[in-house]
Amino acid sequence: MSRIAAIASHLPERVLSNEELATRFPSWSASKIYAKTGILERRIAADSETAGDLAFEAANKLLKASSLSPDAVDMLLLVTQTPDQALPTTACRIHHQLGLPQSCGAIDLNQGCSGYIYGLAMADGLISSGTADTVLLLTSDTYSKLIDPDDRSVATLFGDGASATLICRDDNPNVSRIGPVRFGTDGGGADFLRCDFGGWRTSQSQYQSLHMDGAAILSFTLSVLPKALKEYLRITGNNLDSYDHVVFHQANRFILERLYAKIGVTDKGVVSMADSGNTVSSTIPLALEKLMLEDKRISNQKILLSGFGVGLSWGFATIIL
Amino acid sequence: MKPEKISDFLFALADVLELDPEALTPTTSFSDIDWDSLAIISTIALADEHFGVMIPGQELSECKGIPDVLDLVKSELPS
Repeated sequence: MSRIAAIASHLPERVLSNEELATRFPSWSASKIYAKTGILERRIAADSETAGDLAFEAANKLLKASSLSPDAVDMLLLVTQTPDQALPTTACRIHHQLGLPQSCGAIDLNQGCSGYIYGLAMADGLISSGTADTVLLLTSDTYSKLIDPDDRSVATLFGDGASATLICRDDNPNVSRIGPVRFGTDGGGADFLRCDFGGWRTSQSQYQSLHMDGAAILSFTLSVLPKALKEYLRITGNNLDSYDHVVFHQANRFILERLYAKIGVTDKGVVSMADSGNTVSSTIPLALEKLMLEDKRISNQKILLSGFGVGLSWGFATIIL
Repeated sequence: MKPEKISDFLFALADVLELDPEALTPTTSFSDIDWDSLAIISTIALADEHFGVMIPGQELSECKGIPDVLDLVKSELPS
């Protein structure tokens, strides 16, 4: 049994504003971009700045803020789809940079929008099985390096960023603070959001930038997610009324508001992407961090999380902060 | 499909596309309208809300006007 003890985040310095995007795409004004996406600005990593760098900064912030000695961490998980290189595992480098002990494990998890849910499940599983006591879960991506800056459908949506979550053993047998967690996959939709850049399915001469079929992703979100949520609530014996907040993957405001409305959680659904855009697996922890900063005494709040998108992949988790 | 449902749908679509409320009728063609990716995903979302159907994006992108869109909606409705 485990619990989330703290969350920190790090965004790169360079700002990509709607005003700058409007000069690139003259038929979309800055206010139209905001109206359609809910995003005012997104951050873009510098040329020499990698997802590993962003993740290290988030982890460093977290360790300093929680006064936790690096020696206490016994597992480092990095969720990323933009690792520093094919090998070694980027988490191994970060492990070294943070000065974590040699007895601490480190691994990358390649997943996108559902990645934080996977990370929480892995961390909780490692702790519940006695394999670890203190897990540092990082999420980090630099999708900006995969995107064609002239593709307005994706250049307006995605931002770079990282998060770090401290997950500790919780020995209260009566309350489960992370879980239940459930997942779903539809590899038939693999081409709806793909990037043949790197990897070995495509030769280097055929590398292409990130491609997203927005209509297909929207259709997936509005048709699969509500049914999957109903099933999650049924098999875990939960009901929506029991949650204090609902934090879904912050894909863009258009999809999110429609999904919240369809599920019936408009009043407690969190929309929080204005200053960072879609940061892939970091959107949920960034939104949770904001919730925790807004209410410093947040405690015993039951929150429904869902990550969904690239894969196609989705997951639901119940947490108590 | 009930005429009121169609006009509610067209009203909502005009609003999302930032057009005059009366701009879209069951016979409007897209020659004067920017039928871009935003318009397509807005239409998919609204068709789901108003008619409970998912219109395929590819077919929707080939529509030349509202009559084509309404035909698509009709074809997705349970018979």
